Parts: sequence; structure tokens; C-alpha cells
Amino acid sequence: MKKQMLLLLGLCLTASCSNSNQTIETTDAPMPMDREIGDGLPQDDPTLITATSLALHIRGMSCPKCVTNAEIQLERLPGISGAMLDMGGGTFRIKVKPGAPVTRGNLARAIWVAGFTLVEIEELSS
Amino acid sequence: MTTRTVGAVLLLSTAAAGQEAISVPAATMPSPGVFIPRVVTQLIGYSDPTTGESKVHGVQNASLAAGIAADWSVMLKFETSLNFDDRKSQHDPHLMFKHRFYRKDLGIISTERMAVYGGVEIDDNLDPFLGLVYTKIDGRWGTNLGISWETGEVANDGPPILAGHAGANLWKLQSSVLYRLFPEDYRTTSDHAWYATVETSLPYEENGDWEWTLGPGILYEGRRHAFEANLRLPVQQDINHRAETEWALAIGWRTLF
Repeated sequence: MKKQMLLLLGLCLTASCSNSNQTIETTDAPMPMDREIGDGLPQDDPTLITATSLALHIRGMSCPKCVTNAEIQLERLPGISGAMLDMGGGTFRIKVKPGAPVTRGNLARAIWVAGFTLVEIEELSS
Repeated sequence: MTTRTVGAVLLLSTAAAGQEAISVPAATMPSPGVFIPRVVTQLIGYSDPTTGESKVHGVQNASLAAGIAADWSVMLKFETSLNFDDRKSQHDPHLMFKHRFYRKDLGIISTERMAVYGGVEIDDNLDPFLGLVYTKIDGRWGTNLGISWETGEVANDGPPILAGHAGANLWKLQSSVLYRLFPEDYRTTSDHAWYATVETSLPYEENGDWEWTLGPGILYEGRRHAFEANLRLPVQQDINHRAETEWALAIGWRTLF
């Protein structure tokens, strides 16, 4: 029993290593096809963000620490700052530095990596 | 174990719909490059199997979890016995990986997740453990339901007290229910929440020992810090190879950076 469990664990760890090679620090990487994302926005959308103020509508963010997780991932994108979430409305407001190379897919990926689903990007100002 | 007991545990487990409680795992994890250190102190009242005397045993858990990729995390945990009952020992460290293989975000505050976790206790033998956990959060309610298996170990600082320390492998069915007490509804300015928790656990050791525990708790969660406390009481037990738990109190703190 113990040997079988160790073997199973080894397989999990191997999968972990191969997966982490694909995804770590690659917020541009496409989402694996076998993932369930509900109605999330595509993570391979190359459309550049031109607005300087955005509202990101997010699903699945249920606790205060979830917010910090998402905030950290968003602010790692170049030119993104001032992430603030309205938990009641599930809406993150962010500022984008003019000319920053951020795409809609980057935003969807960052929210996905944080553990949640981005369903809509609303441009507040350009 | 009676059919009625198993039925009651399963009913409670499945009826319940969470955030992460103090003892029961959840299909939650830090995102890549984020770290969560956590300290949990447990006081366990037990009946000494040799003298029948009631004693208190203390256990201090310190862990560090890190997100390594989307839906993958790793955790290193150290466990130390506290010197309340003339037992002080450093247990072997645990290394654990967790992979969230399913998630479906159904609404603003509505989600379902499942994760598998496993690892080893790092001693001469690398003793493995594995578990599966389901988490559902819907508005103010959260539920975690998990099943796990771990290699038994032998207590080296006196008669065994904890489940799995009498040498036999340990199976565990666990569930927790969390209810957000405050705020009733999240608002733009919301930055913390209070939860009432109920945790239940059914550890079964392959030497035939089992117990069913149930207990209330409280959880405060801010943007970076969380404090938690839980009281665990036995509902039914049939234990012949280790000390019988009379009560257990756990107090914890974790942060995120």
C-alpha cells in the first residue's frame, strides 16, 4: 500500500514539475484546453488595452484574502496600478499606464492565475 | 462503528456547503509567487492510557505554503510537541504539493473547486500521504469536504495520543461548514470578514480505532491576516491503541505576502 501511494505521489510530483514549467511566470500562456472556465474571457486575446482606467468584472472571489491574491497578480503586469476591488459588485478598478503593452488576454490570464474568472472588461476612460 | 454514526457523518458532510477552516483542508491555495506562513497551536485534553489520568498535550504546527503555478502550490510543515505533559519532541517535517484540478466560478461569490494533495513526511522512510478535497462557496455559506490517507507513525515521546501515531495507517473523512457572520453583504469598502465555523472529522486507523469529532469555531479574515480558533469534542469513539481524546482546542494565525 505504502509503495503504491509513493508511486502515485511521484506521478503527481512529475506532473507538478512539468505543469509549473509551462505556467510559472507566463501570464501570456494559453489556458489548457481541459480547464473549466465558465464564461471567462479568452486568455489568448491579443487586443491591446487603450483605456487608462478599467473595471474588471470577476467571478468566484469570495473572501478578503482572495482579493489580495488577485491584486498581486494584476499589479505584476507592466503598467497596471491602483487595483481596488468592490467585493460586493465583484469589480476590480485598475489604472493602466498609457502605452503599456497589456492585452485583454493578459488581464484574463492574471485573474485566472490568481484563482478566479474574468467575465467582462469595462473601459472607464481612455 | 454503527451505521447510524456513518450516516450522520456523511449527511452532515454533504449537507454542508467555504473558506478554509483550521483543521479541515480546502481546495484553496496561494497564487504563483505568493506565500502563506501559518502557525496553529493545539491543546489536546486526553486520558492517559497507562494511568487513566486526564492530561493536556500541546502541539505547535508551523507551515509555509507557496504558489508555484496556476492551481499548484507547495507547503512545508513542521510540528513540535509542547512541554505540557513532560513530552517535548520535534516531529519529522512534511512536504506537501496541492493541485486544484477543477474549478467553476458560478457567480460573483459562488464557486466550486476540487483539489488533490499529497506529500511525504521526511524521515528515514519518506512516509507518504494523499488527500482529495471539494470546496463550495455560495454567498455567505462555504463547505469543505475531504478524504485523506496517511502512513501511520509511532510516537517516540511516550504513549500515542494523536490519530495515526499508534503505527497504523490513518484514513480521515473531514468536513467543515463556514457561515459569514459579518459583513452581511460585501460593500465597496469591505476589507475583512468574520465567519462561524463547524468542523467534523472521522479518523479511522487500520488497527480498528476510530472516533467522530465535532466542534464550533470562529474565523477572522482580513486582506492579509487571518485568525482562527476551534474547539473539537468527541461525539463517539472506539479507541484501544492510543489515548482517548477528551477535547481539543486549536488557535491559529496566517498571513499572505
